[in-house]
Amino acid sequence: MELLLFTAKNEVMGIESQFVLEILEDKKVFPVPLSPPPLAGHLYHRGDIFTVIDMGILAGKGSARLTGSRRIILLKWQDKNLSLMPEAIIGLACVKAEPPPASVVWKERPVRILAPEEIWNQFDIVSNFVVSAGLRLTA
Amino acid sequence: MIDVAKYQKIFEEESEDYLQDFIHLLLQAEKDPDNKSLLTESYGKIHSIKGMAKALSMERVIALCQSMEEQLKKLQAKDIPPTPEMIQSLLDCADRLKAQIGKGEEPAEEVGEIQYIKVRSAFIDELLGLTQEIILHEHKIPPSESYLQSKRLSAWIRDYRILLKTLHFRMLRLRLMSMREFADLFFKVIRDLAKEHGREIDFEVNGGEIEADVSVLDRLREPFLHLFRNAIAHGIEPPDIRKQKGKNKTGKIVLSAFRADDSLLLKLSDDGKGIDTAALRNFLSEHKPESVEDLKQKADSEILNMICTPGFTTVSRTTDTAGRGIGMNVVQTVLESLGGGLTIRSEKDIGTEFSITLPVSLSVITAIIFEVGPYILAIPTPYVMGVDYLAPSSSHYDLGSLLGANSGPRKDSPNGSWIIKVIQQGKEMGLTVDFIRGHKEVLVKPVGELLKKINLFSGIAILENGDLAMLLDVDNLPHL
Repeated sequence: MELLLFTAKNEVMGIESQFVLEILEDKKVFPVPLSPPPLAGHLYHRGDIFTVIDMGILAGKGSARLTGSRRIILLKWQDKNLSLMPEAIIGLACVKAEPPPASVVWKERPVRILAPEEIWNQFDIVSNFVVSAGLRLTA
Repeated sequence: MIDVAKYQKIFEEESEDYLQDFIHLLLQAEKDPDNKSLLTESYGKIHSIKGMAKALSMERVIALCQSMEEQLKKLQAKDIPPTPEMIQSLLDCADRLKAQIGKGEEPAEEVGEIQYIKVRSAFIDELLGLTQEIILHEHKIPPSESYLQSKRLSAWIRDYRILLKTLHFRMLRLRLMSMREFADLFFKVIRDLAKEHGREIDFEVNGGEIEADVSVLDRLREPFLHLFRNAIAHGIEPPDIRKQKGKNKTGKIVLSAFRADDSLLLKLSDDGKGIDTAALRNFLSEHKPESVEDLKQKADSEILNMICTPGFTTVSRTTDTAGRGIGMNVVQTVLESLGGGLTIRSEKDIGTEFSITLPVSLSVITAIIFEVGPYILAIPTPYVMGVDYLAPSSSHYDLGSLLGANSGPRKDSPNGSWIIKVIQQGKEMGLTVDFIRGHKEVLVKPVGELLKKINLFSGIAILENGDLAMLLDVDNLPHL
């Protein structure tokens, strides 16, 4: 299994490279009002709109937006897409593990392996919580 | 040498018209079985298709036409009125004939050219998105004195832009569907509903050549199905009642389409019993909080629009087709979500007319683009009454506060604020914003699953320079 490794607030995370569409650099991200904290915004690329998730905030590593992050990982799977804003991209690593575990060790550091669907669901749960906590707006 | 491909195309186009006429004639014959001329005309249509098929040696089409002609001849010879089963059999044959002609049945000697292919509309959307991005990318050419001074390069860039825009325009046309094709979706349904309710219905289409974006028409399928059900179950009277009223025993439903600038106007009318507004007022006074006096003050048009409120129904029992009290509200909700509107006119014993106004395309709209704090937002033009620059007032709605934006008068406009006057559910309100970018045409994409819950945005607008603006859903702003 080949993983794309990246960091977010000192945690190393990995995602299977088969889901990675492209890595963008210096792409403008447009913020969305009243969105849940992990949502950094949206971007437009090759005719598609990608929601950009701040991986530091989603991973529960505080509420400060990742700064200095210039690269964005575009993911595509089934009929969904998503993009991740990491702190830094480390590179690719091969892991011999079937089925993929929840975490592996890479250069003596634990790596949390994430599936795109898991990130999507986690963000969805956060959105639901934020909206039901009173930020929902209805006429 | 005969250009088979060319004649094949002509054959398909003409056969489609003949088959449509044939189906309409059969449906009329079913309602008027004593009218022999309808069967004669029907025979003529199939005979014409057979003649063209012979020229192209399309054996299977010829055989099917022959079989249909024989069925029609038998009916004419026996001088018996066609039964519903016979009509159904001929309609089924027409469906098979349509499928065979559509397949482009090959002549014995050679394989015909492929004329048409089916394309997923999602794929067309993808191509449209890419075309749009190419146009946007072109705007990002880094400025360079050398090419600005080069006449040949400037001319090349000018031609390139024209080609790109032409490509984009042609791609947008791929998404268009005619109102005739849209109406064809309902012919059989109307016939089946009419049989179920014991009605006789003529369905007419005017302005069938008018085209609209398939994404708009696709969203209209369910609302129109509901309107047809209502017209047949509640509007058009049974034939005997209609005769007693001095009307033609066959009721009429007419779908008319018009274009006006960026709008599509659809009218669906019937000549049924209409909606009795006096009875409606009485019903509302018993079931709604308004008093009899308040209801008397309202115009008929206001009273009629109240049938679109949730839960409204006056029928004492529901059927599979109508009377559940959810339909008209859903119709209005769908239309409003498309940026459209609905008005109802009705007169007792004369009929009812639903007028629907819609944007021609959901993909491209015009909107006012503005900024509030770090956010770029847009409001579709139909909702905007005007834009002004005024001193801030408590009567205006501070959009920055609502959105949690650190906004306020910009350094370049310290003495006032930009106010966008919008219409929210019939009432005017002023929104204070930081800066107005302009009035522009934008490409619209859906909000997406993850952000639908925020409930404040109806879409994402892609601006000409590639920026993204959230499309504000004015109706969902909290009321002042």
